[in-house]
Amino acid sequence: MSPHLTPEQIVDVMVGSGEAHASAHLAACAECATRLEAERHRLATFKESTEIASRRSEAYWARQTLLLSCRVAEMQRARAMTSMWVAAAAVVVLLAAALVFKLELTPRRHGASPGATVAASSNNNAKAKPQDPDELLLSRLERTLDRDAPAALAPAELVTGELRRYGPPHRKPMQGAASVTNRPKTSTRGD
Amino acid sequence: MDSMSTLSAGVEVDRERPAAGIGEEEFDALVVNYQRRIYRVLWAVLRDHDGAETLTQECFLRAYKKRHSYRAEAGVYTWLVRIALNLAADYRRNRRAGFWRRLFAHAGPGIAAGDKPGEEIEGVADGRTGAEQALIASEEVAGMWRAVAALPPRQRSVFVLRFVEEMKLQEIGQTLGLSVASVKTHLHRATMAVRQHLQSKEGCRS
Repeated sequence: MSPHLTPEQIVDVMVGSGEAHASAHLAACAECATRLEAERHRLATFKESTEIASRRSEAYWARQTLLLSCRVAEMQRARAMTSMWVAAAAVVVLLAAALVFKLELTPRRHGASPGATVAASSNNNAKAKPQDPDELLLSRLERTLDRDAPAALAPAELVTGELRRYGPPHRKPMQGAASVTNRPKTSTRGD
Repeated sequence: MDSMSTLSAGVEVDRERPAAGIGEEEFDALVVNYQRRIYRVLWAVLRDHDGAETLTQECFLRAYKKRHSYRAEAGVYTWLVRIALNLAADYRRNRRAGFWRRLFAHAGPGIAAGDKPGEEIEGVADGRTGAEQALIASEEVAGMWRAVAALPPRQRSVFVLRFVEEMKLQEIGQTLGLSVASVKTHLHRATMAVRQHLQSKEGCRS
């Protein structure tokens, strides 16, 4: 067995994981100490050469700093533009939402009366199956008039009002029907 | 001053703040202080001046973007080196495709005459002494560079950080996300490989 340190042990010492026995040997053995010193010198030379090879003039670094500042400024501008576009897009979306909301609210305002609710439900039916609204109203009116129960008379009055408002003027029988509507109303009261 | 990391004269980052971040003014100082060292690390790892220059710029741009998320657990330099080495790894992967060159083709003004990479490594640049030129040109150093270039990327990074940047093993571990034991293993293998490479060349000559 060699009395000197192996290359692995020398490298261990250089790396910083050398054993205590290796350190003790280096303190006592001049030859191993010289080998270690040679390795360290080689690495120091490598470090120095790297520093020299990567060296640049001050003007070069000033330019690099300036270039970097320009790129950072460019990045900030791009970020500001992005923020602006995002804000603009948000405003557009909000406006669109407000418009849609308003459009949805508009028919409800017109139809605030209970009669309008009936009209709205008729419209829903009309969506499912296209039908003349006037005819629809007439049929609903007839159904209402045919009823005998007193509770049914109140909607009939409303429908009559609707007919007055929206119905064609030439439909005289409808107006007559409205007067008929009142007749059973009085009779149900027991007069 | 123990808890403070000085970026430059008068500009400091408090390392004890949990979510320190880096302000605009501090960032400028950081560029001035560290761009040379980051360039040197990148050059030593890549041995490519164009790449080192481009990636140094990119490293600081990334640092700028992430400056608010910087945590002062590790040193600023460790943080920057980590960014730089990640970029270097990407660069190596994409070098063949020329991806980065195309990406940064519009990066800005070109390199002025006299700063052209390659000139200095050949010892042509002005202001360099004959001794320095001799050092760079020396057979042993050239052989060592070749040996380092032949190392696997991780071993090369560990080797450069330890022997060129003289970082502590713990700092290298933080930078590369390795344990100290793992750093020692990589370092041991790298040093042995370089040593054997040089010995084999010497054996060939004799």
